[in-house]
Amino acid sequence: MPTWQQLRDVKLSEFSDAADGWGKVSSRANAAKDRVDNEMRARIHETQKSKTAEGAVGDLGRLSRNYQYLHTECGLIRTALDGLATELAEPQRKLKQALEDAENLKFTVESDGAVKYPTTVAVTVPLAPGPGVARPGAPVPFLAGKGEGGGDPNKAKAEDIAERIAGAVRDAAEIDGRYAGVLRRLKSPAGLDVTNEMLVDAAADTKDVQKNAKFLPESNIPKGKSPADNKKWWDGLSQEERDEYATLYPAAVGALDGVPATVRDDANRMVLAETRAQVQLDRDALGPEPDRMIMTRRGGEPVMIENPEWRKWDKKRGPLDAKLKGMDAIQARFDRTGEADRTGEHPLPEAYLLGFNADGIGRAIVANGNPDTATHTSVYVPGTGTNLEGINGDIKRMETLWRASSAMADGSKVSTVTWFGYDAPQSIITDAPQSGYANEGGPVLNNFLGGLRASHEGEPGHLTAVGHSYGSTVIGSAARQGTLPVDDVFVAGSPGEQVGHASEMDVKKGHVWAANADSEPFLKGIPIPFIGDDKYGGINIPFVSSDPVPEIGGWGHAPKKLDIDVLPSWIDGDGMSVVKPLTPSNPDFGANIVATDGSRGHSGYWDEGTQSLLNQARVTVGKYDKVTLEP
Amino acid sequence: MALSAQWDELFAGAPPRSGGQEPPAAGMRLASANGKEGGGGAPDIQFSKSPWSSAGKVAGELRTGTAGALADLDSASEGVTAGTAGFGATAALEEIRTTWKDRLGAVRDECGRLDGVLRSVGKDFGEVDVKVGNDVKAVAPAEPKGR
Repeated sequence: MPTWQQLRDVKLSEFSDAADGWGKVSSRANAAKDRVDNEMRARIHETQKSKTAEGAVGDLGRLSRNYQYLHTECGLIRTALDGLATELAEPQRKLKQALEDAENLKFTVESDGAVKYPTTVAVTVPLAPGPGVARPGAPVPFLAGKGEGGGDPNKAKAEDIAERIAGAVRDAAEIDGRYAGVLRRLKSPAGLDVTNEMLVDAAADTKDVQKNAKFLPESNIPKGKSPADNKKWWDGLSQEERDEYATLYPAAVGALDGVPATVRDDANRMVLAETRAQVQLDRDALGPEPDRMIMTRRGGEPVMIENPEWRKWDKKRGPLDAKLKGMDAIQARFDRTGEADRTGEHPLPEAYLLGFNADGIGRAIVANGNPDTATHTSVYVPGTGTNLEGINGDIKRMETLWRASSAMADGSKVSTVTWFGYDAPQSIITDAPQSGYANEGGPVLNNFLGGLRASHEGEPGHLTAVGHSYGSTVIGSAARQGTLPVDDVFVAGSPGEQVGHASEMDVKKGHVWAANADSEPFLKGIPIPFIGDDKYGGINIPFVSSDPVPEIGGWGHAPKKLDIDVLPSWIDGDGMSVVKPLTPSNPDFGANIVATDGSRGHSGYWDEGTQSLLNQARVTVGKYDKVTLEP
Repeated sequence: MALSAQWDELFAGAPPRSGGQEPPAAGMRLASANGKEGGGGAPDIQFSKSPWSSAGKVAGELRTGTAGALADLDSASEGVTAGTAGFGATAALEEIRTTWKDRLGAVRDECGRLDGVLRSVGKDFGEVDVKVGNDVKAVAPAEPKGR
């Protein structure tokens, strides 16, 4: 515990200089991690392998984890030291003020903090001559002396000063003790391993520093503000402050729309690594699988029954394994950076984790290529049934779109983003018909897209919202409730947009595109001259789709149109009922209905080689004249 | 058939098939495959022809960088003990600083080790070692200028 002299003399700049040093180590480690992931692991991924080679790949994974761990922990030490220096400034100022007051009054402060003062001559009584000594903790400090028979104003002042000195030292000791405790916990285990336990500890350390670093409260981070406001806040911070917020509040910074993608990615990867470690430890703690079937006796007869212990175990295992599966899928995408499916194809660019959360059904926003520097960006909103466990398929769809788009981008940079940033309906039967998921997701989507606009560098980029199934309803709801800040909208298998016309989608005329998979081929295998279509080996019936979602879902999510024209669908394509749902694939909606050759059913829109995918790529890179439309 | 051909064409730059059956998909071949140089579809990462040795080179640079981080810690801690006597946090900081110096030292050495391993893997695969290449260049007599 510091004495008042030590508090007076402490050079707080030493703590902040030390903080800078730790901050440098943290930033260096962050940059080193990126180099390991993007310049080492990505490069050697696709090359030939040997035993030595495979060992080296594993070692690089460990090296990457070390740098991430150093980035987190040294960043926390930096923040703790800054907090210490900032918080100690106040008691030091109070102490110095008290010492100055003492000096001005010609009082002396003793080494133990007592204040010696000359007694006022007028009240000197014969038996109490000479100087008096005031100590902190007088019964009635500040008033002392006045209420006493021979009230001495000097005594009152001295007691006040003694109290202020003691108070400053008490405050300093509390701050010092608090930060000493925080710092002691921020030590590194020996060796090179970065275990799950260490990562879980790092998460706890982060919480610990959050709780103690009162100088940097989470409430400083804007909440519920526009992406432009968020960006303004971020731009107004010093680099040091940015680093501190990002390491201390990775989840909040990682989710903040308007903050640069590189920053969000670093923060979210930290959250991902620590969450993965925690879930794995929870999974390990479940222990080995108990026997599933056990023998028991029922009415004297031996019977096999399902072990209730196993059922309990399995119930806990399910959600943990689901989370691990999803997190491993995200990690697998990171590890695919640099891969190409075939020669002549651009290798996959770096991935950016723009959002992550493992609670409930989870959240994951994964970009291929940096959207802040891309000329063309497509943001894909997946539909019913999307969850962290199954995120792999949605990540893959945007990889495929990236491959197709970047191949026709004439050298422009392309970014494709899987945006699982909303509470997606899980059940086709009970959830998908409801509008609530889209109504809640729409504004969140607007905010995310607005964030991409805000953080984009240089000229504004070309931005497309791609929606599949219920995801397209989220896009429509975003346009209905606010302003959808995109240039193009591409929907596939849409059950409706909540709005009845393309002109309500907040994009220029002609920039809404709809795909609805062709019918199953009719009379397959029978070559019919002129009308037979050899591509499918049968006849493609116009206006009939193999995707049931627009037909059925339209009754829930599309505005209806009363139409007294009851032409059969094969003539005008908008259904022959008198009441028609205005889904985007209904010609009355006013979207460009694109060719989908090759796609079948509700999930074929990202199959390689299909017109659905190629048209999506053409819209993504703005090659509108190349888009093939349905006749 | 036609569909996958179109997909292939996107990447391989194969010429469009002749005949009226071809869907209007020409024009989306790789710019570079069309014979244009440079610019065409520059990927975000430039890939070296010798991935293992260049990864080794990065490891060497990270070794230097990590040694620099160790130096950062030392210079940052200079004067802290003298300037902040009496504070428990100062003692705590000294305590943990040694543990991080140990880890940084281990990471630095690991980078040095990986530098060697990655380069030797590269050599196994017949890559030209960047480091050796540079060394050779350094000792070779300078080529006369203005040839």
